Amino acid sequence: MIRAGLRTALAVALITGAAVTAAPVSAEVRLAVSPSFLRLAAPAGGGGAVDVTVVNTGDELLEVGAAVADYRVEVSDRSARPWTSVEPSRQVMEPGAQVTFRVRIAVPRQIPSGGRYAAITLTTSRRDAGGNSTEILGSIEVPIWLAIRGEGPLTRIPVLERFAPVLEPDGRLGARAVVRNDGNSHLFIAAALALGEPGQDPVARLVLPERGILPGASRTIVAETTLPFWGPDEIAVAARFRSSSAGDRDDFAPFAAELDFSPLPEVALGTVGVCERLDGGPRLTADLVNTGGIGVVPQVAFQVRDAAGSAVADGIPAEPPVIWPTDTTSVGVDLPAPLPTGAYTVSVDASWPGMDPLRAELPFTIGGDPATAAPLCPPEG
Amino acid sequence: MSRDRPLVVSVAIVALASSILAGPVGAATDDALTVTGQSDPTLEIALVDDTAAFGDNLTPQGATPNGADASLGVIVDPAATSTGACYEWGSKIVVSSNVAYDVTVTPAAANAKLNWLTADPSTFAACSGGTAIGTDPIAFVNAGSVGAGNEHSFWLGLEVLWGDAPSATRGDASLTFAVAQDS
Repeated sequence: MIRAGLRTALAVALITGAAVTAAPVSAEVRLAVSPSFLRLAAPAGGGGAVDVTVVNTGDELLEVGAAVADYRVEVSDRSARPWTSVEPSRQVMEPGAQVTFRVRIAVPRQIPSGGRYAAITLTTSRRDAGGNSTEILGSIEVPIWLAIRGEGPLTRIPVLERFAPVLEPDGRLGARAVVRNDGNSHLFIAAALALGEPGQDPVARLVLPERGILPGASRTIVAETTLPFWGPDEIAVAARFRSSSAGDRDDFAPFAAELDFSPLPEVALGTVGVCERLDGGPRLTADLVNTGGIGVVPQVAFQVRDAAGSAVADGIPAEPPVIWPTDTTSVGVDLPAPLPTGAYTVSVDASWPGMDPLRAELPFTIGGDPATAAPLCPPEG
Repeated sequence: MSRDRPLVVSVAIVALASSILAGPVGAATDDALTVTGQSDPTLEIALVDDTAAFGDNLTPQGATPNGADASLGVIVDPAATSTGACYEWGSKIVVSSNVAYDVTVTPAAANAKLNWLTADPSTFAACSGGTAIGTDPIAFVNAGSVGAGNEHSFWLGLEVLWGDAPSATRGDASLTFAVAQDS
């Protein structure tokens, strides 16, 4: 490869007197916001104002625009945007300056209880970056989670969908939980876990940190720390879930679970698949089947070899897959470039520290005999 | 799996629900807006360089441009010089947050010649690969760590191919790095 930084070339040009156009002046932009997350409550027909402070922590003059935006798409039907405003819409800030944006919320009367959501965006201004250049803007989004007491009850209903100790990719023992919120308002939940062997005192503890869950949504909560795998025959986990203690005063009754788990991951590679996409390279998939007692987060890698055995493409999933106990999870990668017509073999490897890796292979062709050719991928969604 | 320890029957009672109706939220009994959560979430973003200047005189041979950022590099595949050149520009954002955060990158408009990269490209294929700048937001950081000075590097690869018409605006784009704290 020919790779050259242009710093030297520009220096030579200057020394030799060659004409060099001045580069546009680049600047470092710094912006700090507090509070950067608004957890609020109001009755129907009520409202008020909250101030958000912005500081220009850099050494350049900064212009910041403020606007109200919708929050995430999953709560688009619970938008508080029409009731929310922010002033001023723009502030010019000297280096070190601190300014305040006032967020006002006016809740309509006669609306049902439940969570409503919006966001305040604070965005650095555009400036003339010069020709043939890409401008880089910064934006801080301040979410607004608003619990409204109106008609009917305000409900927060946590449902524990999944919970298990998990063998993490580094071979250490962690824990994960999937919690769904069946209420009409957001909730905050955390858990303290005590681990040991059945019938004995706990020997270790883990914490599932506090996480907020929007109404109708599920969320995976991952333990803050992990433990060395100490090789028990069976793991007893006492989990105590609780609501936020951060002042929301929206306590629901804590709930607890006493569960025993086999500490043995029993994972097998199931079906391996290949299909062709119209807008890119083939999609490679594999099923991972966990018949064991704890979850596993394996490292998975795909490789495609041609008929001569040479590797022609590699891929790893964007996120390490979580294989829950007694569950099957499909993992896959989309190769960026199509493969030429011919015969290939895809291999998939799944591995964990301290365990023998798993491997499965599947011969296939691109084009040719329909019996062995990779089919067209089904439409997504 | 190779471990030959006996499988212990696990008890998997993982369906557990608690349903309660929340009481009044906040202390207010009038129509006031009440702050109910943590009072001190704070977030800072630093854009180390707010302009990727590609300059003039970008050629498929990989000529040195005029008026470009000094850090701009150029890559030509010696095995395929007839393809063209890829100019690469790298920078980073720095985030300080006391709550986990996400960062997305939203282009103002599509630019198929400009590629979003999260690793320093060392080959022409890498520089011209990545994600072409479209109109969809790009997930950049997911669940960034709590702490000060978290650096997130990125690169832009600008293709200048022999088949491309000459252009003085092929690097024009606008990218907004939006950071938001998780709940």
